Amino acid sequence: MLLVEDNEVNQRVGSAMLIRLGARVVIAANGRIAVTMTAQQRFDLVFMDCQMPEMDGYAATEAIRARERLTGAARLPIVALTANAMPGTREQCLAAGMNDYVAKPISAQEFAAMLGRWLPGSGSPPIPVRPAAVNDGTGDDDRAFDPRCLRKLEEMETGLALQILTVFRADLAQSLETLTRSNGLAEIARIAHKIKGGSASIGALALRASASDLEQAAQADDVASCPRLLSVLVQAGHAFLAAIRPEIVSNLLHAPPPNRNDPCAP
Amino acid sequence: MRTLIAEDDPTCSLILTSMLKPYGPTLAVADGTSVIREFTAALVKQQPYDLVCLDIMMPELDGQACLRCIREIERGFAREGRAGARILMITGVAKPETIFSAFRSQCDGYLVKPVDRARFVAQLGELELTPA
Repeated sequence: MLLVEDNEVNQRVGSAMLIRLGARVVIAANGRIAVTMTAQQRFDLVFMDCQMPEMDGYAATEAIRARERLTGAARLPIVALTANAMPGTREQCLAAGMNDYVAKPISAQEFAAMLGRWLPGSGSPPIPVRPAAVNDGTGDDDRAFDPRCLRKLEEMETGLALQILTVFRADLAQSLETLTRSNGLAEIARIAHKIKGGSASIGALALRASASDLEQAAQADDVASCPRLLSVLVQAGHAFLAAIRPEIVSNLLHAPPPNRNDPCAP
Repeated sequence: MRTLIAEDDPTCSLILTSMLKPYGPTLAVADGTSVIREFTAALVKQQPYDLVCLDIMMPELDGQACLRCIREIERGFAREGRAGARILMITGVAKPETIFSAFRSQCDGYLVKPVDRARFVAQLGELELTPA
């Protein structure tokens, strides 16, 4: 999933909602970045803001469609997100080559409906809502991030949780960079192993699982599975970096646990 | 007591450093070669480490090789058995053959990550290591 959005709050809210729905989310801050990213990696669906600096959603969509025509690539579903509910906006989006249109603010239900409608292989009804990707730490284990681990670290030493998260994020970003360039299975296994260890300590459960899968495949010389698992891990890593930011975690640590039914809780 | 930590994952390294704070000074390094260099330098200065925490999967020299190396160096300095450092393997590798191999190479304990404080403190207690 590619979320193209310049507003940082909307980036966080949108990615949190999509992650809850079980999606892996990559964020692009404007249309130009989105055009580059869609050329570099495969996405199943793009949510595209319309008004953005540098290159807006309409121009970005036109560029992506032009490239698809040139390369004969399959048409990537693009759903417009716009604050502009004026009549004619929908037509403008469709004319630019977008497949669908949602007016902001977008609810989790609308995101779910769009995933159901546009994801390959998932017809309506929309995919069931999975437990929260980031929740208050009371409940299920089937989630991407468990804040209880960071809370435990914070109990050990005040300030430790954020310090560790910051170090983990920096190391993760570097590891992902190395992974995309590395070609030796031994190096891939070692980096995946390192990501696995760090994720386990801070409660990044989804990331830990992807890292573990890649580590096992690389250790077993499973050359056939490695590229796919590597790309899954890289996407999970970027999703983590986009969603689990220090300021969000700071709120999780210091605020009372949010209401589990609050759809806006990140 | 003085502790040397070898861990290439900075997250785990910070957690170990924090858990060891009540016990005394710690030094954390990120690869096997640095561990050996630092461990030997401390012996030469006659300020040996009391505890070494070794990760297994590390670049250059892995934890198992470090363990064998450290025990070899200690023999050279006539610090064998109880006179040597306590060596604790702290790793994500939980394969029985790896664990057996570590104990054969004379590690004193083996913890599988993620390590929580209670388990870590209990393990140090078994090795008769207590907060300063």
